[in-house]
Amino acid sequence: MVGGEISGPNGPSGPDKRNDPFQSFSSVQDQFEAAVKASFDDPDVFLETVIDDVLAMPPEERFEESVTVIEEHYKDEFGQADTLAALLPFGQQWIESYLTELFSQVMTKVAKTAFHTREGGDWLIVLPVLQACNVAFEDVTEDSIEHSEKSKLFSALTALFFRLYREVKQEKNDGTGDFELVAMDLIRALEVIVPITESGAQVLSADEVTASEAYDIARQEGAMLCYVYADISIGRGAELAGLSQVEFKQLLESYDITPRYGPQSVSDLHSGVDLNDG
Amino acid sequence: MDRPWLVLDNSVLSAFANAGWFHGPEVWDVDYQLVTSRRIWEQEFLPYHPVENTPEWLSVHKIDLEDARAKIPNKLSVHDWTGVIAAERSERSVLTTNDFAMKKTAEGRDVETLWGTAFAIQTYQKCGISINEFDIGVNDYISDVTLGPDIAAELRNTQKEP
Repeated sequence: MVGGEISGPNGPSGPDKRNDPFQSFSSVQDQFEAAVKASFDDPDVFLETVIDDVLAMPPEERFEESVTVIEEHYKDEFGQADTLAALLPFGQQWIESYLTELFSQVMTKVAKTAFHTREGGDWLIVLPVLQACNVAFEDVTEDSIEHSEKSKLFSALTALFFRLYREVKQEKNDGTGDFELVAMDLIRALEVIVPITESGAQVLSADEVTASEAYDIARQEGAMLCYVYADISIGRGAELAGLSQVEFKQLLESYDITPRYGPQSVSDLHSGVDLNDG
Repeated sequence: MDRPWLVLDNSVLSAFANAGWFHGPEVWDVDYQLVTSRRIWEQEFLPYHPVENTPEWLSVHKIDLEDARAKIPNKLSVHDWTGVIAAERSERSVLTTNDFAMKKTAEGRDVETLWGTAFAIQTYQKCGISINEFDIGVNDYISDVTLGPDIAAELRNTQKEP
């Protein structure tokens, strides 16, 4: 574990994977691809074609209607959507449990990138995107949500996930991933997700921000999620967010996150040095 | 013999300033050299608490992050690390902070630590803060450090030593 055990970017056995900020999310991509490979003749082609077609949709359609594009591809491949369910080696309950567990693990792993990567950057954007996808996924599986709203949630979730998937892959291939695009799609996805999952909550419109502003917002949310998942200091969270400590504390409080200041018990309060003995 | 350093991080400096107790730590000046790092002072504290001159009781030091381990962030910012490394100056130096991650990291490097609120209590008991100043500022302090109810009550009920 980091904390005095690493002397540079390369450990004794070669390049340190912990210096690849997208390593943790790449494992999600690998598992996603592996999960569908068993059921498709040409899984890579199928997946890339679906992603291309979804991302080619205009934003005003992509985040509410991408599910129809996905269904059309499945029907072309399998004849009908139910065939897919029969072909996949796992049922819906398994998928829900698997994705919930995967989400928790990946969030923690990505957040811990903060331990060994000084600069906040594109990798921070992964966290609020995964968070938004998880929120949407949880409600897609809720019985109380109407079918039309589930369809919108699923569309927003897949449109956002596909964008992240594509840009992370691009970044790893040739360093040309565009994370301002990811950040703008996060804002667009939340415009659909939040009114369904948090009735009455205010939501920022993509028309109100530039791509650069969206990136800054997503970066700050990523820093906040690092604070939650990786137990970093207020100062570290502020550093990642590009804010002062005061601004970062205010940001946390605006999301009802209490800064981790101590002590937590009276005995701990009095357990430190007595300065009168100095 | 050199006085050991008592290193104050921004969470402590800020909380004392917000409570109107900023002069309080001066009471320790005989036994400790009260220190903060230049990064903490200039980049975190002064933008929100501008002062004409650095108080006489406080020494602001430039701290170099020479330790290779400190260059790996772990859970702390560069500013945080300057506070931890300052407190490693000698065995008797102490770091006072309100931040969990900072305290835990410092203790992992065998640095003596003190919660900022314990520092506030000891400073009050040593009469660095008057009863009137304490009564006026305690709610602002509690709010700034987001203390839980038990700790807040313990602070409010602090008595001066006879």
